[in-house]
Order: sequence, then C-alpha cells, then structure tokens
Amino acid sequence: MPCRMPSNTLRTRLLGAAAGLAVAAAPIASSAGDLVEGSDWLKRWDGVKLTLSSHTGPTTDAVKAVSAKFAELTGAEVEVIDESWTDLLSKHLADAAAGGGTYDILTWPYIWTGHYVEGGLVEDLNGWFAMADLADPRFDMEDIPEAVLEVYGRYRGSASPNPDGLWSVPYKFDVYLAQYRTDLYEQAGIVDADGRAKPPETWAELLDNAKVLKEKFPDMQPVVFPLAVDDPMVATFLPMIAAYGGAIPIPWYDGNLYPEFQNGPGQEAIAILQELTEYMPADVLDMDYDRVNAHMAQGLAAYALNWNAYLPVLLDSGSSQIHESVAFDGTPGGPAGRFSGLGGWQMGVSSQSANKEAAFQLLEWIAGRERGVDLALAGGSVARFSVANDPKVVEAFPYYPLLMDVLKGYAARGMDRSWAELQRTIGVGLNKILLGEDAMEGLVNTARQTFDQAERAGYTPAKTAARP
Amino acid sequence: MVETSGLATGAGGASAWERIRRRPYPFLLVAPAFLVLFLLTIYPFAYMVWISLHKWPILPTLPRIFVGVDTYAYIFGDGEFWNSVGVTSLYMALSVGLQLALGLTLALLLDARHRAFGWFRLPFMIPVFVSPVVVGLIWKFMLGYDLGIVNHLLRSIGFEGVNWLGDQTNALLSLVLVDVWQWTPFTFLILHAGLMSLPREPHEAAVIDGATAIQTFRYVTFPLLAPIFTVALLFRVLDAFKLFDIVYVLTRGGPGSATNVLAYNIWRKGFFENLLGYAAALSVIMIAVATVLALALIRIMSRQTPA
Repeated sequence: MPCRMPSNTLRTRLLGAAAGLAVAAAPIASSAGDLVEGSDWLKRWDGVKLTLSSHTGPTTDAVKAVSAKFAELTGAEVEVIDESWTDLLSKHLADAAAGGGTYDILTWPYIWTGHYVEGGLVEDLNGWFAMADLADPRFDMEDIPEAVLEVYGRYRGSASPNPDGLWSVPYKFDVYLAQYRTDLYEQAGIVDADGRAKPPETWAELLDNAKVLKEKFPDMQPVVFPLAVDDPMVATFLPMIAAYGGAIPIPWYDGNLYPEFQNGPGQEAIAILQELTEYMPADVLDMDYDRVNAHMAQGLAAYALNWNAYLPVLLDSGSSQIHESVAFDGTPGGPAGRFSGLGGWQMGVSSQSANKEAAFQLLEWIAGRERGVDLALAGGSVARFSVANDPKVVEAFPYYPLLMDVLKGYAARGMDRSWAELQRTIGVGLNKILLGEDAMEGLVNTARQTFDQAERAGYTPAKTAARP
Repeated sequence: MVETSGLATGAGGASAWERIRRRPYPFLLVAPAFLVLFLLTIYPFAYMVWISLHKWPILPTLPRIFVGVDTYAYIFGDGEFWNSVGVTSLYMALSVGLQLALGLTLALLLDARHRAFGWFRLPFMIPVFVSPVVVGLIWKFMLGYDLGIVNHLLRSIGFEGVNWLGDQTNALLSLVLVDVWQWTPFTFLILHAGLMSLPREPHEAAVIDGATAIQTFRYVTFPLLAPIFTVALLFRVLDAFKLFDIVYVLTRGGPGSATNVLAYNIWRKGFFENLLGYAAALSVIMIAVATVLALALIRIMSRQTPA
C-alpha cells in the first residue's frame, strides 16, 4: 500500500499535468490551424510576427494599409519595413549570409533576381500555390498578364536552379509610358483627323513633332527623357533599342551574356536619341525620374517618358500645372514594332523565414485579386487586368488600361547577378556618346567592357563569339 | 627556441618574450589599446586584403574563389579606374587649393580683435555643421538648370544659365564649388587661430627693416604659419580624397563618368554591384595612396616644426 499510493499519485499528477498542457496548448494549436471567420483559406496566425522588407514609396504605403487588415483578421503581427531602395540588396544579402532570417517576405526589383534565385534567398512558389490548405482559391494567376509573370516571377537564365520555377509575384508594376501636353500639341497642329492631339507612334515621328513644337514654342522644351547616368539612361534606351530590332525581351545580350546592344539596333537607336537630345533641356544628362516628373508638372516640357508610378503627380491639381491637359500613351515604336520597357518590383517568401506558411498567406493577401482594387486606390501599382478595368481605378488613374495595352510588346533589362555592374557600364557608355563620343566606337568599347565583366562574374559570353 | 624564433632579440641576449615575462606591467598597460587597435583596425584591414584576393559574393551559398592579385591586375588595366584616379586628383587639387587660398586670405583680412568678428563667426561656420548629404540636396536644387536659384540669379542680371550638373566639366566644378562652400570656414578657422598665435616680434622687426606687406607675408608670416597650414592641408586632402556623400547626392558619378570619384566607385562596386573582392581591392589601393599622402604631409610638417 505504501508503495502504490505514491505510484497512483504520480500517475494522477502526470495525467493531470498532461491534460493541463493539452488544454493550455489547445488554443495555440487550433489558432494556427483555424480559418479566419468567414474565410475559406485564410488562417489565424496568432502570436506570429511577419516582417516584409521593401523600399520607400506609395506602393509600400498602400501595402502597409492592406497588411494591417491581414494582421487584424489573422492575429499576426505584420511589420512592413521601408527604406531606401539602393541599400536593400546588400541588406538582404548580408542578412542571408548571417543566417539572420530577419525578413519573411522580400521585395526586390527584377533586375536583382539573379542574386535572390541563384543565392537561394527565396522559395520556389510553385509548390506553395499547389497547397490546397494554404492557397487562396481566388488568387487568380490568370488575371496577371503573362508578360508580367515572366519578368517578375521567373528566372530562366542558365544559372537558374529551376527555369520553370515561380520565385515571386508582382509587388509594384512599372511600365515606361509617355506623357504629353494635349494643349500644346493641338496648338502646334499635331492632331488626328478629329482635331485632337496626336501623340507620336514612332521615335522618328517624335523627332518631327519636336521640331514643330520648338518652332511654335521656342521657350518650351519639346521633349524630356530621364537620361541621368546608370538606371535612367538604360531604362530610356530600352524601348528605343527594342523598337529598332533589339532582341526581345532582353536586347542587351544573349543567353550567354554576349553583348548585342552594339549592333545595328543599338546604333540606330542611339542615333535618333542623339538627335532628340537637341530638343531636350541642356542638363538632361543630369535628369533622373524625379526631375523629369517635376519638369513636366511645372509645365516646362511638352512630352516626357517616365514610369507609371510617377504619373499620379501629374494628375494632382495641387502639384501639377498640367493636370487638365496631360494625356498618356505608350512609348513610341520603330521598324521592329512598339515595345514598352518594364521596370517594377516583385515579392517572394524568404527561404530563411521561420514562418513560411504565414508569410505565404500574407504574400497571397497582398497580391491576390480581391485586394487589387483597394491596393491600387491606396496608391499601389497593381499588375492585374481586373484592376486596370475597374471603373473606380480608371476614374482615379486614367492611364491604368494603357498599362495592360502596352504589354502587347515589352522589353526588359537584365536579371543576372552581374546586371547592376553591366547596367552601370552601359549607362556610362551611352551617356558618353550623348556627350560627344563617337557612337560606333563608344558602343563597341562598352560592349567589350561588358563582355569582360560578364566573364569575371562567371558567365560565358565567349561561348557565343569572341570578344567584340 | 621555437616560441621565440622570429622575434627580435633585445640587449643582453634576452628575447622579446623573455623581456615581457620579466617585466609584464608595461606590456599589460599597452595591451588594451593594442587589443582595440587590433580588433578595429588591424584585423578588419587584414580581412579586407584577404577578401581582395578573392571573388567574394556576400552569400556563402555562392562560391568564393581565390584569384590572388588578379583583381589588382584587372583594376590597373581598367580605364574606368584611372578615370576615377584622375577625377579624384583633379577634384582634390582644385577643392583643397581653393579652400586653403580662400581660408588664408580671409584669415589675413579679418582681425579677430575686432568686435564684429565675434558676431559673424558662428554664421560663417554653419556650412561646416551641416551634414554633407543635406548640403548636397540643397545645392542640387540650387544648381538646377531651369528651376535652380543660381541660374535664376544669373539670368536676372543678364547672363546665360549654366549647365552645372549636365556637363562633364561643370559637374566636377560644381562639386568643387560645393566643397569649397562647406569647408572654407574650417580652413579659415584653423589658419586664423594659427595667425593669432604667431609671435608679434618678427613682424615688428620686419616693419622696422622696411619690409612691404607682401615681403612680410612671404618671408615672415607664412614660414611661421607653415606647420599649421600643413595641418589644415592634411585634414582637407584626406577628407577630399575620400569624397563620397556629395557625389552620391549631387551627380551619382555622372554625367558619363565625369565625377566618378574613387570612394563613390568603391561604394557602387561593393554595395550596389556586390563585387566585394573588387571593392576591397580598390579600398586597399585607396588606403595605400592615402597613407602615402598622409606620410608625405606629416614629413613636411615635421621638417617645419622647430626643434
């Protein structure tokens, strides 16, 4: 008896403790698996903290608002960190190298994709979207233009661990568009059969228009492009080289990173750009996207190119002198057709996240079809047909349908690991040609530099041909 | 014997280790300073040299390849590197030269004993207190071709607007202008303090001997001021040599590569293009050049200092 009593007591105590633990754990277990009330896919993530890393700007502001709703519904804590975009890649890489797992969702411009995919920073989302218990059944991938998914989601380079992988979904949709002053065009007689302002369909037509506008309005800049060294220079040259026959979607080099921009299309494109710069501000080689937008908003130019993310400023009566007369169009074309340059950002689930399932659901929540309109109205730039056709969105941002339309032909910058270096080299090379260096010599010298840089980065341009 | 090999042998045949063992206290007193120096300077520098001998992606999932001095050879054969060296040298010469000339002129012209000097000393120093990034932003707006106030003022008095930032030559001169605006008060302050500390007797003797003002400056004031002048030169040369922030804000190295100074080039290579090996090699070269510059100036300074 004396021996059995303690045994019973111990068993009873152990059972009691186990039952207590089970009761205590029940809310956690059920909260992680329970669906949010009224939802057939969104789960509760009580006690989970998610961190999304992005850059400063209106899209991230809109994402913050949408994420707050996710936090409210699921019980997760969501922190959206926004900071200067220029330092973001090195921060993401440094965090990954340190094994920090600081971020659950990463966002990046597609030109950095090589680092994220080759470096193993993000998950292949194909498997995640196949999980019935986590996937949003109304996410609607078909609502996203295929061109956008190709550029913002895939990485098909030879160094890709899975060329058919889906590494990310669109975060911020950026297309290079034209903006023009209908009042000036009409006064200059550049009109269609109905007497309405007629924007140029080709770069040559734009040059002709510039001549007419200069004569009619000598104090006005007929054209202004972002041509500051590096990113703006290359982004502006992208639809031009494509229009003159550059390879699509990436006209800069082939699959082995053998340079191609020094060939015929590049030569023709730089020739017409040289002519066009005569009708641009004297300091156009110092003009980035912000300055071009300010120039347009101040009513100092008749025609400009810029990313769609900058256009709301032009429509805002408080900040734009041309809000009533500005209209939008695709970038001009050339003998090979009309192509729009794609920019933009994407987001993926960090491979080091401790809460990948919750992170994936947050990603779906932000990029899903049902939040698209809210995101766009809050200032986000959304790549969805349903958003572009929504009456409320079109009323607020009349250029949205154009964003989908111009995707019929698109061109992109590079995505490999060495692109930042190559882009700098190409940007400097093109800038120098516009400053007076011989075009042919400048293009070939730049091609040689990029060939060497690609080789040093571990790619194999020599497989295509010898150094240019 | 194995432990002591390679160490210097002191007087009386005692090895360095032996001397440390016999009299440890001086070494223990120096040890914390050495430790700090080792952790914060020596080890990071050695690690940077090690990185410069590799192709070094940040991510450990990508291969780090030892390439020896290949990166250095590539850099010395790279036209862009030599362009950076040229741009940095020209900028440094123009900027520091102007700052010292203006600072010295102002110091000679202004009499600190006058009450008015005290009134405007603080406002005069404001540019020095402002962050270079803020200075860059202010000047970016002021130097705008169409909307900048500088061109507006020029046009209002009948001149043409200047293409400050979109022209290769003017862009570099704009950087010089901004740096001179910010740092001339600093050189002025140092040189002015130096002038005030000079003995008056040599000047009085020169005046009695009938020396002109220029002769007095040439043969009396400047030789006496030279050590302080060299200190100002040392500060400004090293600071101008590592110019980054104003370029980052004002020109981003452009147009073309007209303002692509060394420090900006290193930042781009390291933190934007993620070529850490390349950036490390550039940094090693830059540190070597800065060290040679500093040693040369210190040597000049030590010759000028009276024994």
